[in-house]
Amino acid sequence: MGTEAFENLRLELRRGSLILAVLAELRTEQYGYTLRKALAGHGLAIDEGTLYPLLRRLETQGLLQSQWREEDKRKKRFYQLAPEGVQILEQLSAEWRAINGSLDQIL
Amino acid sequence: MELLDRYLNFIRFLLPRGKQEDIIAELSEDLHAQIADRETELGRQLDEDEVAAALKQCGHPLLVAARYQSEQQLIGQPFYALYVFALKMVQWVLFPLALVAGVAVSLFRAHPVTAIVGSIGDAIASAFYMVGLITVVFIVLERLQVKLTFLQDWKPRDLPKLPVVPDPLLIPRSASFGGFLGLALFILWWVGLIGVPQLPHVHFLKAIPDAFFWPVLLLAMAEMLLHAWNLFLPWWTRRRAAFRLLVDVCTLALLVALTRTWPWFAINVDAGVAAGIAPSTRDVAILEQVVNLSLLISFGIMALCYVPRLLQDLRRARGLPPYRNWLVVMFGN
Repeated sequence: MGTEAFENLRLELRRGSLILAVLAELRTEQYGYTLRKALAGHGLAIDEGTLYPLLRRLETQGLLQSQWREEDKRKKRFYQLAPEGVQILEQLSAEWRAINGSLDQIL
Repeated sequence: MELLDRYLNFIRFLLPRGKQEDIIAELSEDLHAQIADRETELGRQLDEDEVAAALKQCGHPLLVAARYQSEQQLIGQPFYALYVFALKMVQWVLFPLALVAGVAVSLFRAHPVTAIVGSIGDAIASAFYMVGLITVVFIVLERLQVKLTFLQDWKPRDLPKLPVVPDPLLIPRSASFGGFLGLALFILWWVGLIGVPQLPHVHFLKAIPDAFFWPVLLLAMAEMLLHAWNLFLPWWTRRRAAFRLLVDVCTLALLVALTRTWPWFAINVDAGVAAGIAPSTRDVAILEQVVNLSLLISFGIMALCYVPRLLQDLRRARGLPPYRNWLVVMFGN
C-alpha cells in the first residue's frame, strides 16, 4: 500500500515537472523520439504513451506547433514551441523557481 | 514486424476515428526508431521475443489508447478504453449476431415479414440493454477502483489479429511498379519502338495530329518519373501530391483537346476491297460509329476517374488528411 501510494504521488509530482521540461526542450525543434532521448539524458525518462498525448494536448492549447517532414527517408512529426508557448514557458519557469525556493526552505 | 503491426493495429482500433492515422503514424515512427536503435546497439536484427519485450514496455494497447481519449467523466482511465472496447463489441459483434439470428429464425415463422420486423426491433432493444448494462458495470468498477492486473501482465503475442487498415498516406509499391511498367510500355509504343499488328484497311488513332506527340510523351514521362519516385519513397508528401496534381490537370486539358480530333477510328473501304473484303457501306458506317462512340465513352470515363484523384491530391498538397469516402479512395489513390 505504502509503495503504491508513493508511486501515485511520485507520478503526480512528475506530471507538472514534465510539462515544463518538455516545453523547455522544445525551444529547439525536435521530433518525439529525439525529445524522449534528450529528456532521458537529463534523467527525466518519459514513455511514449505519456509523451505523445501530452504533446498533442500542448499543441491543442496553442503552446506547440508541429509539422510532418521527411528525414532519413522516414516521416517524422517535428515539434517546436509556438510564440504563446515561449511566453508560457517564461512564466512557468519563474513559477517553478519560486516554488523550488519555497520548498527548499520548507524541506 | 508482424507483431509491431498487430500491436499498432489494435491501438488504432481503440482510437477515435479522426485521430487514428496521425497518432498511429507518430507511435509507429517512435517504435521503429526504438527498434532500429536497439538493433544498431546489438549489431543484429531483433528477434520476435525482443520485439515483444519492447512492445510490452510501451504498454498495453488499451492503456496507450486510453491516454489519447479526451472526455472521461463517469468512467476514467484505464476503464474508459475497456468500456469503449466493450461498446464496439456490442456494435460490431453482438448486435449483428442478434440481428442475423433473429432474421434467420423469423424466416421459419408463419408470418416471416412481420417476424423479421419484430426481430430487428428486438436486436436494437437488446443492443440498448447491453449498452446500459455495460455502462453500469463500468461505473461500478470505476467507483470500486478495481485493479486490472491483466493490463500489467499481458503478452503481445496474445493480441487478436484485426484487419489491417492501410495508411492513407502510403502508396502501394505494387501500384507504383504497375504504373511505371504500363507507362514505359506506352512510351515505347508512342515513340514507335514497339508496334502492334496493324490492318491495312483500318485507321486507328491516325486522326490524332502530330502536335500531340510531345505533350503526350512529356506527360507520360512525368507520371512515370512520379511512379519511380514513389517506388523508392512510398508515401505521399505535399510536394509529390502537388506534382501529380499539375500532371493530372495537364492530362485533363490534353484529353479535352484530343476530343476535338474525334472520330479516331475509320475503315478504308478501298483497301478492304483490294484485300478481297467487301463490306457494305452501311455496315462500315455502323462499325465506325460503334467503335468511335466506345472510344469516346472510354475517354469520358477516364476523365471522370481523374476527378477524385484531383480532389485527393488537392487535399494532400494542402497538407490535409485525404478523404476517406470509399469512392474517392477507390479512384483517387
